[in-house]
Amino acid sequence: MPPFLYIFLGALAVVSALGVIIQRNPIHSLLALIATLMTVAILFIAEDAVVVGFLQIIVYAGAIMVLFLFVIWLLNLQVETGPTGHLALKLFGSLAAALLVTELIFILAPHHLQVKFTHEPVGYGSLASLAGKLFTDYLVAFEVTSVLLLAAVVGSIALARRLPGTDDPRAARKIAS
Amino acid sequence: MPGNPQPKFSDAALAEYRQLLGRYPTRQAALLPTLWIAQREFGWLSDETLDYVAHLMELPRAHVRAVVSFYTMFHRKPVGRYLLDVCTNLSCRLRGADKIVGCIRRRLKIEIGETTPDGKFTLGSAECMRHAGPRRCSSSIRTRTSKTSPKKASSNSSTSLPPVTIELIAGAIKAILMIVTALGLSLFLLYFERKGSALIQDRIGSNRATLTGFGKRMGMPNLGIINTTIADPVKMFTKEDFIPAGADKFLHTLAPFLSLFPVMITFVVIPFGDTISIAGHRIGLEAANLNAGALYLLATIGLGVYGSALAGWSSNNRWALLGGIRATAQMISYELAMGLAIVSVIMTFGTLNLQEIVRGQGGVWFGFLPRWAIFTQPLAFILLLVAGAAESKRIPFDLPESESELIQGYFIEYSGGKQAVFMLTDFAEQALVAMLLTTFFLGGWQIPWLMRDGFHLPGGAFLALPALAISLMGVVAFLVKVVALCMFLGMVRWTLPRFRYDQLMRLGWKGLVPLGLFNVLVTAFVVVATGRVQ
Amino acid sequence: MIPLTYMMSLSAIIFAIGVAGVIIRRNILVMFMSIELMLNAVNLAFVAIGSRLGSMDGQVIVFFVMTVAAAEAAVGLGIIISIFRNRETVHADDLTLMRW
Repeated sequence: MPPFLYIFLGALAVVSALGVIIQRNPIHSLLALIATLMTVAILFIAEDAVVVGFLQIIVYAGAIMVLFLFVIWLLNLQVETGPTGHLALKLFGSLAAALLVTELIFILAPHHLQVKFTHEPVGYGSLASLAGKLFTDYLVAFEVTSVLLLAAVVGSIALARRLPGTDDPRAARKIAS
Repeated sequence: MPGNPQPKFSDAALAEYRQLLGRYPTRQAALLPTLWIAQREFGWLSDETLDYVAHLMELPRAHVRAVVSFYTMFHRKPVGRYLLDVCTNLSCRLRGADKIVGCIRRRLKIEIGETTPDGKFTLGSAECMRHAGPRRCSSSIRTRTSKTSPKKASSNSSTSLPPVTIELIAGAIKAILMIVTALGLSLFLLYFERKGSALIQDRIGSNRATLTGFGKRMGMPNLGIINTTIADPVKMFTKEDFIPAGADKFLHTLAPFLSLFPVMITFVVIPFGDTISIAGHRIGLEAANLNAGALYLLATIGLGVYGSALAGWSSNNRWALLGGIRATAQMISYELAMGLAIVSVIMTFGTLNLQEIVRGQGGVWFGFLPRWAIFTQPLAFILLLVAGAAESKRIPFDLPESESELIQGYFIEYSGGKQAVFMLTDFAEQALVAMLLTTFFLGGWQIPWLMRDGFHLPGGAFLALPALAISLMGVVAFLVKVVALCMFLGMVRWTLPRFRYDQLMRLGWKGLVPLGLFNVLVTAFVVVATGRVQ
Repeated sequence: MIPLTYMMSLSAIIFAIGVAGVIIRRNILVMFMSIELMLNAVNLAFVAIGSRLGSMDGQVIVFFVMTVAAAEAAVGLGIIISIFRNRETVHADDLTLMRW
C-alpha cells in the first residue's frame, strides 16, 4: 500500500477517535467509533492480517456497536446539554494523555527499531494459519474463551432483565402523577 | 558462435586461478570458482573448455562435467549478451510468470533455452526461492552481461501498460459494470413488483402513463413499463426533500446512504463469469478476487444494519423508531443463520474465495448431475434463502416496514430522493440475496455439462465451442439464475402473510440457528470422513 | 513495509485519546466507548509487530482480545442498564453512594 494511504488512514483514525470523545450526542460518538473501527480494520488488512481485519468488521463494527446502539436507544440518551465537568478534570485528562503519548512514542521508539522485519511465511494471515494456531497452540485459551462467552451471555441477561414484580420506577412515578 | 578449439586462460586469469587455489584445501574444492573464471573468459563452457579446465586442475573430465551439469548458472551452449532468466516455479507462476515468459517469447521470437539470432538475448527458465507473498513480486528477471555479475532487473513487460494498471482499469470497469447491472436489476424488480404482483393478485396494475401516446393510439395494451421504470423514479427524485422538525439532521441525511453503501460494495466480489482473454490479458470476471471473499460478504452484510437503525432513530417519530428497532433486531438475528449457511458451503469447498467455490461446482456426478452445492447442502440452501429474505426485509419478514401497521416503518419520514434510495436498497438487497444463492448453491456462472472446451452431454455427445463464447454464455447463465431467483422471491412476497414479531424471533433463534449449527456439524463429519481435509 | 514506529505511534495516539476520553468524559457510555478505543489501539500494535516478526501469534492474541472485548461489552452494558434502572442517570459523577 502506498505510504500516503497509510498516512491518510492514520489521520482518519485519529480524527474519528477524537470525535468519539468530543461529541455531545452519544449516537454521533458511536458513529465516530464505528469509523475508527473500520479504519483500524483496513490497517489490519494492510498489515496482511486479512482474516482478523474482516473479523474486526464483522464482530466489532457489526455486532458490538449494535449492542451499544441498542443500549443508547433503551436508555433514551439525549444530547448532553449543561456543564460536563470541571475544567481541572479536563486539563488533567489532556495532560495525562499528552504525557502518555510522549512516553509511548519518543521514549519507547528505540525499542521499536529492534524489531527487524523478517519474511512472512506462506499463507500469513489466512484463515488456515489462524485456525492452525488456534486449535493447536492456543487450544486451552480457545475453549476457555467459549466458556467466557457463555458466562457473558448469561450474566448480561441476568443483569439487564426486569425481575417479575418489580416495576420501572419512572413508569410508576408517571402513572402516579 | 563456435567454441574456441584451443582454449587457454589468459595470464590474468591464470594468476587469478593460482591465487584461488591457495584458498581451498583441495583442488576439487576450487572447481566452482575456476569454472566461473572460465565462463567469464570464454562466454560459455564448450566441451573443449571443460577439457582444458579438467587438464589444468588435474581432475577427471567426467567429474568436471558432472559438476557443470548440476548448476544452471553454467552455460553449455552459447548465450547472448543479456540473459533473461524467468522463474517458472509454481509460486511465481501464480504471480504471473507465464505472462512475462509469453511477452518475451512474443517480442524476441525465441523459446526457452534459445538465443536470438543477433546474439543479444537468451531466454532461460530458473527456479527462485521466493514464495507467493501478497506484496512481494516473486517473478524476478536477471539480466546478466557477459562481463559483469548478475543484476536483478525490474519486470520487463513488453506491453504498453504495466500489468498492475491494466488490472486496476479492468477492475474498475468490472465494478462499474456490476453496479450498473445491480441498478438495472433493481429497475426490473421494481417493474416485476408492480406488474407481477398485479397479475398474481388478479388486478391490472399501473397502465396509464405513456411517453408519446403512440401505443395507445395504435390500440396496443399499456404494459406499465414507462409508468414504473421512468415515471415513478422521476417523480420520486423531484419531490420535495424535507427533514422533520426535531430530527437529527445529520443522521437523517446520512441514513439512506449508510443503508445503500454496504449493499453496493458487496456486488464487487461476486463472480459473474470465468476468466476471459482480451488482447492477451487474462481477466477474471469478478471485480475483486479476494482470497477471503466470503468473509468480506459477511462483513458488508453485517454493516447493513446501521442504515435502517439510524433512519428509525433519527426521524423523531415513534412508528419509525419501532420500525427501526424491529429492523435492527431482525437483521442481526438472521445474519447469524446466514453466516452458518455460508460456513457450511465454505467447508464443503474448502476455500473462502468465491470464484474457487463457483469453479468447484463444475463437473458432474454419475455422469449427468451437475456438481452444484444445492445437491450436497440442501439444508444450507433453505437456510440461506430464508435468512436472506429476512435480511433484506422481504415479506414474509417485512415487519420493519409493515404497511398495514407502521405505514412505512423506518422510512416514514423520508421523501423524494432519499425514499428512492431506500427502495433501491430494498431491491438491490433482493438482487444481492439472489446472487449469493446463485454463487454458493446454484453453481454461479456454471452451465450444466459445459466444460472449458465445449458441451459434454450425458449421452456422450460433445460440442466444441470457442472459449470466449463459453465465458459469455456463463455470464448469461448467471444473469438468468439471478433473475429467476429474484422472481421467486417476488412471488413469495405476494403469497405469504407476514410473520408476527415473536414468531419471527423464535424462528430466527430457535429454528434457523440450531439447524445451521447442526448442518455445520454434519458437514464437518462428512468432510473429515471423505478425507477432504488436508 | 511502512516503518514500525509509524504504526506504534498511531496505536499510542489512539490509546492516549481513549485514556483522555475515560478521564474527561463523565457519561458512562462514552467512557465505555473510550475503553473500546484503547482495546483497538492495542490490537493494532499486536498486528503490526506480529506481521513484522512473521508470527501468527499476534493475530491470535488479537482474536482473543476481540472476543474478550465482546464479552466485556455485553456484561458492562448490562450493568449500565441496571444502574440506569435504579438511579436514572448515566453520569458517572452522580454515582456517589459508596463514597465516604
